[in-house]
Amino acid sequence: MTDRIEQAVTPETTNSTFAFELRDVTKSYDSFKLGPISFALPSGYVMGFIGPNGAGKTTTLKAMINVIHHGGQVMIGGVDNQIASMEEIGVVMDTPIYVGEWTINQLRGILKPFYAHWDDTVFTARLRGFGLDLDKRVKDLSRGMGVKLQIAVALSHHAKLLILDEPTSGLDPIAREEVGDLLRQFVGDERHSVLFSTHITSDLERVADYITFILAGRIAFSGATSDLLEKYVRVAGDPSALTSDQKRLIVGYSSHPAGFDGLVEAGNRNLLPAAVLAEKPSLDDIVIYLNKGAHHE
Amino acid sequence: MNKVLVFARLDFSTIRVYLTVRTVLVFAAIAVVFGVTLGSTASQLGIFAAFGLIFSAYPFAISDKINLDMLYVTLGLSRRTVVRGRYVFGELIILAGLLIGYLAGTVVEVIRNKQIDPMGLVGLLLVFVLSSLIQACQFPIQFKAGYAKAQLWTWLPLAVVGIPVVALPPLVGGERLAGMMTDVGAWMAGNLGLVIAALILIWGGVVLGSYALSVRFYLRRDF
Repeated sequence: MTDRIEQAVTPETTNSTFAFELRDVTKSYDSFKLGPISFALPSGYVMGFIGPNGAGKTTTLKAMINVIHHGGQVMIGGVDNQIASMEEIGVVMDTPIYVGEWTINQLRGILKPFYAHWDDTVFTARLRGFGLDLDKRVKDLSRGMGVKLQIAVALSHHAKLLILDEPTSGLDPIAREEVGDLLRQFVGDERHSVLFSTHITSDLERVADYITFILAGRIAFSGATSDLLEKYVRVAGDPSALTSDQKRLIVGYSSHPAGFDGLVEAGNRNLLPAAVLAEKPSLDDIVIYLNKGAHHE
Repeated sequence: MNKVLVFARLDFSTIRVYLTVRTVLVFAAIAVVFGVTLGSTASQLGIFAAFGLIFSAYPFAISDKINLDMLYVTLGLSRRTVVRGRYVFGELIILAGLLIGYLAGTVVEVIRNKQIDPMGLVGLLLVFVLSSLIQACQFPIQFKAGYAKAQLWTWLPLAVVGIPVVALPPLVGGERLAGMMTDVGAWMAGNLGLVIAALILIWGGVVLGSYALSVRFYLRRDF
């Protein structure tokens, strides 16, 4: 999938091949300010939306689907989100936003009239595939089952863009892998795209073609996952080998009895002594060090 | 089907799990006991109007709990459609409650071997208008603040209606008040067309004003 990645994800002109584009989106609360943020996802890919708790992930997703008022502009499939059809978007929250007492069968009857392209056959087939019983009440579903139910709903109205808010939080590794597999299957159709917010970055290395990293309401990175992983090098070694200028190059620098560790931009690796150990970071490393670096600034 | 009506049906589906046959029967039993004890059909209508008012607020309460407002957005419903649908649902649930109350009243009259008073229908209309007006005061507050935050304020209109009922008899005197009420009743019976027209005008104006306020408040909400 990664070799299909061809476009930069910072939108400069309106491009209907983008599954979505955010342009200078802002939102202010008393204690938190989001943005202005801009990023986009070409159709046919999975984007992981990462950042620590409280960084603005959910606020961004809510702005995208117009659940909150916001500044700037959001385009969904080339159409402003104020007028974009919600039929094209499937929203998956960590817990279903359905009445707990409804059975899945009742839910089907309740949701169906709202979607012009609702497909009962797809819904039933997905439920069977997920092992979900039509007579089961929403409140009796496990978290993983709740996520699967919402995905089944989204697939049944033929959503082209799936927006998932922390769908894997609280899931065991097997259930998380299942969700990842589902998303990969979904983008098998090039018209389909996924934006997937999570703070469990290990879920994304396997699934996400693109990563957008948000930190304190600002975009720290948005681009191909491989670019992010190649952008930084994790370094560790003896702090006495570093000059103060070299220390300043290290993002999220921390020293401890065994030495120091941190992150350095790959281009700056050669500016550090050869004795400093360098290795490819994981997404987790990048999130942790960049977050630490932001707090130290 | 029209989206407003589909939404009203969604509201009904939301509360249906709480609106059990047992709940309706409990209200019906209370209404019958009140009706037989007080010998008044109005008390039955009042109980079922309260029943309607309580249930019309349930979607707000459930929405507070599981963010149904977000569901409405994901279903592609505009905020105006949600407000319109909620008003349709609210009026229908009060009307349904009153019709059950009226039927319960008729059963009581039959049990008591009394002739059914056609003026009972005028009473039904009066109670409907009064309940609908109370609801029209409640909805904008609930659309603005949600159920929990609005709870104290939403029952204020009921208190405004209840205070004169409690305060007037000692102030004016029970017999004098009864006389006045009889006079008002007689005047209303003599000018039924005018009374009904005035009621419809007042009701329509207040409900429309309430709807406009609700739309204004709901459009501003973040979920």
